[in-house]
Amino acid sequence: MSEIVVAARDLTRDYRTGRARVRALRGVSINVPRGDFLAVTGPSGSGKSTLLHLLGGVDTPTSGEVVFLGRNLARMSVEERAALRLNQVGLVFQRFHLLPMLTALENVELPLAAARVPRGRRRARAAAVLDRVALADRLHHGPGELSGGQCQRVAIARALANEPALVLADEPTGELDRATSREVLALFQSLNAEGTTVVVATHDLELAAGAKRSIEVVDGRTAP
Amino acid sequence: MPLKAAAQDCPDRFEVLVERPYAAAAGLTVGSTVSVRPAIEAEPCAAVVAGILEPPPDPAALNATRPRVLFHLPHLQGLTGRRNEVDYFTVRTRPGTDLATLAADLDPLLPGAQVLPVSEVAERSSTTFRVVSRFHTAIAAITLIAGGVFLACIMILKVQERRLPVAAARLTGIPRRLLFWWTVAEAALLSTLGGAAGLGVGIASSAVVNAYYQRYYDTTLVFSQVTGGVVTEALALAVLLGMAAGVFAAVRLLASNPLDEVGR
Repeated sequence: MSEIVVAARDLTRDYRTGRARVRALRGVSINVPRGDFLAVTGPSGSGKSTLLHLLGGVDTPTSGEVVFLGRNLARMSVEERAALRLNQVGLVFQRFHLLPMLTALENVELPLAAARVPRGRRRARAAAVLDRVALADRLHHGPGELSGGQCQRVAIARALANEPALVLADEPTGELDRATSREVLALFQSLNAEGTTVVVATHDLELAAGAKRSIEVVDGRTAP
Repeated sequence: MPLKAAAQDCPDRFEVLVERPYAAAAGLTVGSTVSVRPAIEAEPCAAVVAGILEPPPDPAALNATRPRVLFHLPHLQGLTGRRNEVDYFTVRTRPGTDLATLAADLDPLLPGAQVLPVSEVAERSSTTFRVVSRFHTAIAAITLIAGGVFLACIMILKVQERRLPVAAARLTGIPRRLLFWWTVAEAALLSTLGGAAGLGVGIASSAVVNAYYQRYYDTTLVFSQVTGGVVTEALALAVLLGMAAGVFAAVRLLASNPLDEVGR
């Protein structure tokens, strides 16, 4: 049996909006084994992004627990969880969120710099990852000089920079046209074939169909 | 004090020094003969211009309208009929001369005379300029405060553009500390570059001001100086202001929950 990268047990997450309390997740449990490519689908507001944030240690559950590579995230400090995200989790966002004043290469170098990788090695590593996402000819372009699809590939390269155990992508094709979405799906499939564990939250049925398996979240619960 | 015209004696070999601007205006050269009289009703004495004198760069004399002519003291005394009467005179001493000893030596000859170093005379005569200097300091302080506020506003606008990517960077595990110091360093760099550019403008303006006013007042007085101390002080202040603006901007940038910025 494959090693479990991340396991969620009976997760709930409540938010306060003014005086109201909203329950975004209601007792969700999942296991993500190494090498998995899981698509989390569901309508807007169903709790997909919340589930991803909890799996990646970005957010903390109201109840339940997340175990990442054998470590219970609830028992880790904020700094320890930040270090875990930096080294073990690659995050991809719908709107790329690249730093506009940095080039593609520098954006990918950033998590390596934060992980104190020496300059020469991180530059080589960032260039190699950008080559992996077919952007070797765009190393020194800023986000403003790249198309949406290229920006998302830079964001994926940034997520892969520290060779994470898990890549979490939240609506990675939400801002892209159909053809570019297919390119991103192909990239995720290719990375997964090389051993990267990928969890994608998406509305995109084609992207979900391209994953190895999918679960649907509706009203904060996983659909049967 | 009115001069006694009746007591006048014309000195032998009467020589005077005339300041350059006046000499130029009056067409005098070395060897020219001029008439000198201590009062309008007195008989004139003929004096030879022995030299043309470059006026000392004295800000207090900039607006002087009367020309200065220098006499030998005995000649002046003979001309005015006033003996042993002098307001002040300058003595160049050897390095290391003790002024207290000099004052004691002079006291029997000049009872009640005060002996002052030139620096103190300058200090006593420059009160107006010290007031002007304080006024300039106040203007500089206000300018710096305004510049600092402006810089802080620019930094806030800059970080405002980066709220989302910085929040995303924090979610990916980039430490707040790194993002904080990055913002501070960027502001300090921006401010230092601005300070250096300002110094460049200052040095150029200073040259223009000096050239204009030296020509206007026909003087060698240096009106504006950008000294090494000014450069150091300006750059140090630029770095400090930049860091302060950067800290202010970074605190604002990193105060919010990154998940609220990116969206849950």
